Order: sequence, then C-alpha cells, then structure tokens
Amino acid sequence: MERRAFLKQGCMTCLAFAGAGALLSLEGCASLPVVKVEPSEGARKVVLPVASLGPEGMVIVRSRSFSNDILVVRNAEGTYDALLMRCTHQDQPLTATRSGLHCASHGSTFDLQGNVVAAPAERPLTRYPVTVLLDQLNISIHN
Amino acid sequence: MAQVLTPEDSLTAGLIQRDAATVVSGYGEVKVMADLRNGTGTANLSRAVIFLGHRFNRNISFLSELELEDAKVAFGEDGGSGGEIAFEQLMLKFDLTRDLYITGGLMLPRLGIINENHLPTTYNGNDRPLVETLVLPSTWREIGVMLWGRSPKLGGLNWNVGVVNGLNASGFTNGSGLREGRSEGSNGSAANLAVTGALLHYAGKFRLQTSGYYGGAAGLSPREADSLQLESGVFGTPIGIWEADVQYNSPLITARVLGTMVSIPEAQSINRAYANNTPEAMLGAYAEAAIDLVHAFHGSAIRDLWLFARYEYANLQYRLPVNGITNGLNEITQLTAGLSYLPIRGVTVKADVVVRTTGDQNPQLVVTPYPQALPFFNTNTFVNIGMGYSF
Repeated sequence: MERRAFLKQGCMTCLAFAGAGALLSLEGCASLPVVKVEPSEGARKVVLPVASLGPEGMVIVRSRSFSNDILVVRNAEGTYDALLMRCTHQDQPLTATRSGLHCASHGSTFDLQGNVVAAPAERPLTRYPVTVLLDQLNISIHN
Repeated sequence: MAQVLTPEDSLTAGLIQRDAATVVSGYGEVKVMADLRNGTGTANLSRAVIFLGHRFNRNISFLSELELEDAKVAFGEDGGSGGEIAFEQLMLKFDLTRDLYITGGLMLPRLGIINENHLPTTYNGNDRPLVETLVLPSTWREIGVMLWGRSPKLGGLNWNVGVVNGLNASGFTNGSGLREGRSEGSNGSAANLAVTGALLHYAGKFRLQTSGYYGGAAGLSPREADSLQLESGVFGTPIGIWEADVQYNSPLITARVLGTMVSIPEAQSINRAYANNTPEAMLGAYAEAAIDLVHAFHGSAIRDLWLFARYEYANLQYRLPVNGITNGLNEITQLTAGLSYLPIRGVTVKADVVVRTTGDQNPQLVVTPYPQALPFFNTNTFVNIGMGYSF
C-alpha cells in the first residue's frame, strides 16, 4: 500500500470515528461547566452558588489546593452528591460526562452516584457531604 | 475558640494527596485448558504482575509493572526454558495541568482495547481476544514519550500522541503477526521511530476509540539496510496500523466491537532480506456481547455473572507480496462463549468454550507429514477454566 493511500485510509477512519461520536453524543458533546473555587476553613469547606450548576445539574469544582477535581451532581430527589474525580483503582484522574465518570487509563467506569459500573476499580468514589444554605452549596471535605 | 485548620487536615479526607506516596497492586491469572480434538490439555499460571507506583510530589509519579509469565523462568544446561520475566511498563509521569500530562519510559501505546486495559477482571474469556493478540500484539510496550490530554472544550474527549522506538522486521514470524518484532524495551533499535496516537471519546454509555501507529521497522544503519535492499531512515521500511473500536457498558449489558488493519508496504523487501514470509496486510475484527445474569434476575448486586459470546476473524495474510507463501492456517475464525463470575470486584472465575476454525494447511510447508506428525484438523475445540484477580 502506498504511503498516500495509507494516510488516506487513516483519515477516513478518523472521520468515521468523529461522525459516530457526533451521532452518539448530539445532546452531550459540550463540556460540563467548571467553577474555580478557593476553599475555606483550611481546605475543609467549599462553597459555591447553586446557580453554578449547569442545566443538567452538574458542575466540576476545581481548586489549586486540591489534587483532583470534584464533580457535584444534583440527584433526582433534589439532593446533591460531591464526588472526588480520582479513580479508586490507581488514583488516575477521571473524565466526567453526563452519564458517568470514566478512567481513560484502565477502563473503570462509575455512575453519577460514584458506584462502580465497570472494573477494574473495586471501591466507589470518595463522596463528600453537601448541604444547601441560602442558595449556596456547602461541601464538607472530611470522611 | 474555633479550631484552626490547615490544608494538612484534608490529607485524611483524601482530597489533598501526600507529596510522597507509594502504591503496590497487581493482577494475575491461571488457566486449565482441554483440547478436545487432540485429547490433551495444559495447566498454566499464565501471568502474575506486580504494580509498583510512587508519587514523588503532586506533579511527578513513577509507575511500573513487573510480569512473570508461565510461573517460572528456568536456566539449565539446555539454556533457558519456561516463561518470561519482564517489565510490562516502567515510566515517569509528569502532570502539566489538570487536563494534560506527559509520560516517558517503557509504556503501552493506546492501540486497541486490550493493550492498555488487560486486567483479567476487565475482559471475558480466559484468553485475551485473538485479534488483539495476533493482529494487534498485546501487551505491546516500547520506549518513548507520550503526551496525554483531555479536551476542556469537548466533554468526554481524551487524546494522546507520542513517539516510540520502532519494530524490528527481522523478527517477524509468519503466523504470529508483528509480535516477534517488538523489542519490549530490551536493547531495541532506535534507528527507526514510530508515531502513535489515539482519540477516545465517552458518549453516554458508549466509549469510542480510534488509534494509529506509523513507524519504521528496518532497525539498521543505512549501510546495513542498503546491503539488504531495505529502506532505511526514521520511517524506513514502514509499518502502519489502524484500529477503531466501540464499547457499550451498562450494569446489565456490555458489548464491544473492534476492527483493525496492519499494512506492511515493503513486505516483499523484508521477505527478500529475511525469508520470514511477511504479509503486505493483515486484518482482524471481533464483536462481543455479554449480559449480567445476576443483575438480570436479581437486580443490582455486588456479584456479577456474565454470560458472553465473542466472534472473531483474523487474517494474517490478507495480502501477500509476490514472494509470499500462502498458508490457510493464517486465516482464523474463532467463537468463544462462556461465563465470568465475579463474587466480588477484583476476583473472577471463568469458564468458556472456544471453537477455532482455520483454512487448509499448505502441504508444501509440512516437513513431516501424517502419520509422523499429528493429523491436521480445520476445526479445534477447547474448554478453558480459570481464575483471575486484580487489586
């Protein structure tokens, strides 16, 4: 096979991939909103407005004080979960989507409550309690 | 008076990782196989792997996997026998931003599914898919540098691109694809290099990936290559690989489809130099579906009992150069069906049946014909029982 044909075939594969990806994620291609915060109380408390959650009820909380992002999810019951976006298998960072969290390195998948959906992870994600006070979400960073 | 808290208090909460931390984990698998056609069988501790990782600080980590295959490595008067002990990975990881990092060292390129995600608790069947063993070698590691990232603009998109040392065409062996051309970090030639990259996208319950590889395989100095009439240079005597796969994961059903093609445009020159019957092109594809019977009949549970079936097609001589020799053994279809029971996450007990069909053997390649040699059958059936773990 000539090099040109070789490259052409590769490009066609990429295009097919992109097309399939677009078809499968028409509703959810855009990134989740990210809010940068400065934690208080010695990095034990994070406060952010409820309005910072996107229309899907999700937001990624990022701070330079933390080694990993936190995904905040509004549940169907109107309560909130704050999930540490670090895989419990080998501490790799997770990719958050509207349907779950994924480890690109080894394939672990978690649902939006932090439960393991696909191995190799064995344990659920670290969850932090969230309370709502005056349109503010208070995330408590402790066990 | 309120308690004064410091960032160190959050160490116990796990959010702020200690600057230095060491992680030990591992995986392994053992298998008993019965060859029903020939009335024989094998029992083997296929592999045991120790993972050792260390975080030097928040931005720099060390990761390694040391593997022992086939339980032991013995050295006697007849030379080495038994299995192999080798580093499967050994690299440093440098975090640049929350969405970007670099790895350098001996690493597994993201090519296909199994090469990167090969823990026995993550795939069905005692054996890794045939296509991802013969057409796409697993676990294929080379020395290089790789840039990994997540797109902040497009949710769920991960990518990576890198440079690794190339393959060595003199090692190619007919019937085993590219496997014997790998250096696996052991004194490989850096006279040739390869570029490799992948796009990985999560969309709902789907995981879509495409990956590629393009690199030289002469592994010789220009003078040596000229003497063998091989193309030298960084990408001389090139090998190209494309792969695309789609996975679907839910607690009840999983499915995966993969297709791949390998192109070796200078196969005729390689055969002239090494007489190893290298093909110009190989291809393979498989599809697998599984259902969790525990989930289906009892709803959500910690235990899993996956019933699965996988169909594979591999053609290791899809296209041959004029000096290639046809052998029907290189065209393989394989059906694997069975159960994977996970009493807890991290432990799996597997049972499966494999029906493998090949084309006709080329009689001109049979040095010792029947009855001195075992009779040839196009179809063989194997029954496998095994266990695996990862932690």
